[in-house]
Amino acid sequence: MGTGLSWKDRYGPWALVAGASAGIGEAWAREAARRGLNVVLLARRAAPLRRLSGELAERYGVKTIVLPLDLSRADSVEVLARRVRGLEIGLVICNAAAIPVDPFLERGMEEHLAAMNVNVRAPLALAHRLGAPMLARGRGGMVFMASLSASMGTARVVHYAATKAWNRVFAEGLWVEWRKHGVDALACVAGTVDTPGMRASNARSMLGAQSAEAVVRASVAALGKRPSVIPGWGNRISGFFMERLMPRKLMIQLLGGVMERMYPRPDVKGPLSGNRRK
Amino acid sequence: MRPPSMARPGWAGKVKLPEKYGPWAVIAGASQGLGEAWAREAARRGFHVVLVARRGPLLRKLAAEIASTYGVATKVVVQDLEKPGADERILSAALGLDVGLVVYNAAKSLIGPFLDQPLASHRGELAVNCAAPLGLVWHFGRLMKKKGRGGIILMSSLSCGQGSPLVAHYAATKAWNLILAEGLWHEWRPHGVDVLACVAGTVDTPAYRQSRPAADMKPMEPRRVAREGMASLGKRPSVIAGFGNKLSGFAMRRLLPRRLAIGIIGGALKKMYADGPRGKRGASCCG
Repeated sequence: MGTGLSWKDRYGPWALVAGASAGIGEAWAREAARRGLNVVLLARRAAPLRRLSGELAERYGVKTIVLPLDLSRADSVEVLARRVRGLEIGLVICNAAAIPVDPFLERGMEEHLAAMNVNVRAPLALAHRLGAPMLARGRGGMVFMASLSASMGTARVVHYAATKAWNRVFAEGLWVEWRKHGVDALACVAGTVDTPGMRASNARSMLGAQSAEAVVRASVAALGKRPSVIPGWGNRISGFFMERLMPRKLMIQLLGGVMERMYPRPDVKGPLSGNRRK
Repeated sequence: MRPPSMARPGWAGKVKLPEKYGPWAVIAGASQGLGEAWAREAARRGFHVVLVARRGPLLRKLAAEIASTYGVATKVVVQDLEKPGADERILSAALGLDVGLVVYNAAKSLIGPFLDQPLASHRGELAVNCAAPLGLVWHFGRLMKKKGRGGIILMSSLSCGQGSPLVAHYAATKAWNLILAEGLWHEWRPHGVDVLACVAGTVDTPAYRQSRPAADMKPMEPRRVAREGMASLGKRPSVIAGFGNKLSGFAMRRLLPRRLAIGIIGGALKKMYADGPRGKRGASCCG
């Protein structure tokens, strides 16, 4: 935006973090509060949100709202819009994700549709409902979580990777459209992140996993400066290698082999939702 | 379109696709443009075709024409792919047919700044471009995997190589299709099921022309896209149709910094739709 506004003036007074109960979402909520923003905490489970809410209020003296909401429900964003009516939300973090880790057909259609609702339909509606007032005010920011696994087709997380490709390309398109109105869109293309969700996925290896805080720091630094960011040097190098140097077919096969070793049994089950990301 | 007897000898001697995959092909979004080309290409290869789209009269006309030209059986399913449950209705309409090939070509592409269109339209775009193919791929994929043979083609677009302003959401849905197809290619190959993402640039379709592009993007002939796509099925996870498109895809994805690529495609689309673009529902029409 290039104006002299402080971070708080640019992205405040309220932030909304979807998927705030743990991992990257929780780290975003802390970061926003640390920078003086009031925070709407959204996730399915109320208990961890309440704990976090109390901590943020006490430590940073900001206002918080706990919003337990299941984004896999088709009308969730309408419910959300009613609940936050009147709040000036200047920063939206679309971090909630459903991550079925399994061969594609081992999950039923209902689960795939739920994943599509959480990972795509919800950010689409958030961008529309909360993006419009930001453009009207001429300031704000919206961060969409994407994944390195979305650089190409990825076995074991086939549908998840597709939804993350949606988020990356969507955010990058909005970056151009919204920039001239003073609103910053950003795709955060994360690699493996050390989150409770990632640990619960029973991955055989978490080599090179980053902390959630590091991912948030990189996103804060990139917001308003570029359309997408890959946090971490290692990830940037592997992203460059996978997307630009390797033949696509070979890369899909290699990555597929890695994923099949990482999640060896076809009956590996993970929770439908959480903050796990590859 | 030539009748099969006059077709190029290149493919005629090879394994016939209906024998490899199964005798029936389902073409979703078949009424005109690229979908029509897919239907003709499937029939030319010897498939019986199930034509799915909203507009019954167009489909019936095409079905009759295909039946008489290629001597294959046809079936028409009038179905709006934006409606929830479209996948299940297509599945039950094709019940009893040995479906060996599914081509998902239907697409809605809203053109213009994201917020200029109501959320309901964007949800419709998501339903046609992602939710419906998700259901079809899941249902037919399951049947094919059980039989140990089959082919699925999902249409994608060059615009999804990076963020694309004016078609920000459309490009995102096409990225979804590309990545889904590529992932399934790897998962289902050992089971005899071939999946392909067919990445098109601008294609000379009625939908493309109705979108009133100002700049000349040298659109590709639909049947050339369908031929190249069909020829690539089972050989690779994704194909960019057309030599020029392959070149620009290579440059945009591999050579240029992502931010510059986004700027370039943004500039091209802005020029293309300089005097008022229109959202269109039809075959993919955006480079």
